Amino acid sequence: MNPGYIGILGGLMAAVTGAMLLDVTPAQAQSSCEAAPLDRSIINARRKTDRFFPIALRDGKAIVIMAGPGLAQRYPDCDAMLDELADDVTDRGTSAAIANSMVVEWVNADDPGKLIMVGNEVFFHSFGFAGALYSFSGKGAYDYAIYVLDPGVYRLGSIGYPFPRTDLSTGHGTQVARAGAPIGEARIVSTNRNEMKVEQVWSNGSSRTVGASEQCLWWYKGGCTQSVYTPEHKVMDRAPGYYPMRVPTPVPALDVNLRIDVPVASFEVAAGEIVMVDGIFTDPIDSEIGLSQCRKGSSMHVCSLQALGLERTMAPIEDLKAYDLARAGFPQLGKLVSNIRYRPLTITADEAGRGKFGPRFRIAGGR
Amino acid sequence: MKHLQKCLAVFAVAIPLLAAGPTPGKSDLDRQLALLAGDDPSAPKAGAGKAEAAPKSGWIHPELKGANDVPCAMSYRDGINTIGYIGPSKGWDESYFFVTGPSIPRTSKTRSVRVRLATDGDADQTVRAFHYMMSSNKWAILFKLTDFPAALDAMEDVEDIAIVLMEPDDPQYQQAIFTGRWVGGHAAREKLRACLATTGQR
Repeated sequence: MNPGYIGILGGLMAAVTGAMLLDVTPAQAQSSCEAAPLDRSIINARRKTDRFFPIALRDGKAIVIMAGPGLAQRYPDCDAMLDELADDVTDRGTSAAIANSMVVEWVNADDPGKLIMVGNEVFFHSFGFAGALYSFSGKGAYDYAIYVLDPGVYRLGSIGYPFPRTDLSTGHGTQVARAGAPIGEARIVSTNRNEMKVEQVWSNGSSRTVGASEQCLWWYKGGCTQSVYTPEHKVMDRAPGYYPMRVPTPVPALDVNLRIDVPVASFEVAAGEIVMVDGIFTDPIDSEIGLSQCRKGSSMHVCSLQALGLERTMAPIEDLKAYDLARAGFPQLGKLVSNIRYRPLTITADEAGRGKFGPRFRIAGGR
Repeated sequence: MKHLQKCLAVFAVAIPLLAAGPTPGKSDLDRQLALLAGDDPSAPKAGAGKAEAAPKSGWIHPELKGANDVPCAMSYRDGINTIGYIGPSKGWDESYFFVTGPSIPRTSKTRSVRVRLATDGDADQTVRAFHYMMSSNKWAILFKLTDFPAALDAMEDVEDIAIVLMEPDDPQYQQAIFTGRWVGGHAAREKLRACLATTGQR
């Protein structure tokens, strides 16, 4: 292994934090609708990360940039999305909370311990190389996440997401009674999820102390002949009263993980390559859960996964190339991306129409 | 894992020992956890010494043929998560069940927490566990076991588990902080039982 590679790896873990790894979209869902300005420390940390990419390629790794559905495109009203992350669940079986927290795992066919996890909240600083080293929103409808990985074939392994405002008795997905050959398993865990609600919250007010000062009112021939002294005093910045605040509110929810045991989608990447790959996502209502094949504990059900609908995010490569990576603090990665190639997914599922981001597919087990 | 919960100890007394800095017991535990989670740079490589070559995923038994004072242990690598058992050895009579992975919240020091242990076939149990700092970027939930052989008896061959945090003051109260799964548990525990027999533990 290249010695420089080892040194940079160690430095990366120490230097990189979440704020340095994402551009706009994940931050939108967590704190603010506006992108935070880049300060020098973030740029410097990104430059350190940037040095790593060409070394990784020379060391036999590959770089994959995976496209995903842009959260801003799916939920254009940012403020409403923040306040109502889960509000659509009861009406349409989907929500910004699900889209923002969905994690799609692509697993190395030869070594299941090697995988990448694609999601708005999965980054290198917490997940190692399973997480993205950087993510950003393109000019179009797509987000992009950048991974360094070992060469090989990577198969769609599982999809996980929260399902707010639901409990085990309500269940999840489309529940079917038949017991055909499954395509995998659905693990559903009863849990809680914090939703942010704007409430009128009492505040005792806030004040600050201003130190004593003296101001000269009349200068006469170089001397102050009249001044006014102001003693130390308090200034009230906010009066006591009720103010609107975002309050975390625990709400029952399910943690859902759909494990896929049959070939559905895969891509292959060789050592030294940098490629763009389409992403995959699902809507919860598109999964069929076999109720007759379940192992049930009091707060966990594991049932057969009978069928699954997927949508492919087919991003134009020009959209990716148009993003100014150098300006974001990644000049070397920007040069590499200028030669990026598109790597189509190998899909072994039946096409089922077209969605907002690309073709839809459906995979079902035996009847 | 039908009866694993019965084997879990109430171990508030043990917390000061674990939290009080490097003790011989803590060092042993740290090394075991690192080895089982695949993080120990000094771990024996394939063909070196008596240890097994670590498989890419699934069950590993890093110390099955180890020295007598090394605990018999095994862990299951489920993607980026690890679930494992650390047994007793000569001179070290503690045993643990543990889970680790990136979803385990950060903690700056080891602490005692209440957690709900959920499985795919049993009633939930709420017990105390250690929220344990393995390294500067890895944390584990560690359950002390009072009867290690009984815990092995209770293992299912295929089992899904979830750990739900039950500390009311924690921002992740009642949230699942770990979900994972193993397969082939029965074959794995037979190897571990054989290891325990060589150390005189059973």
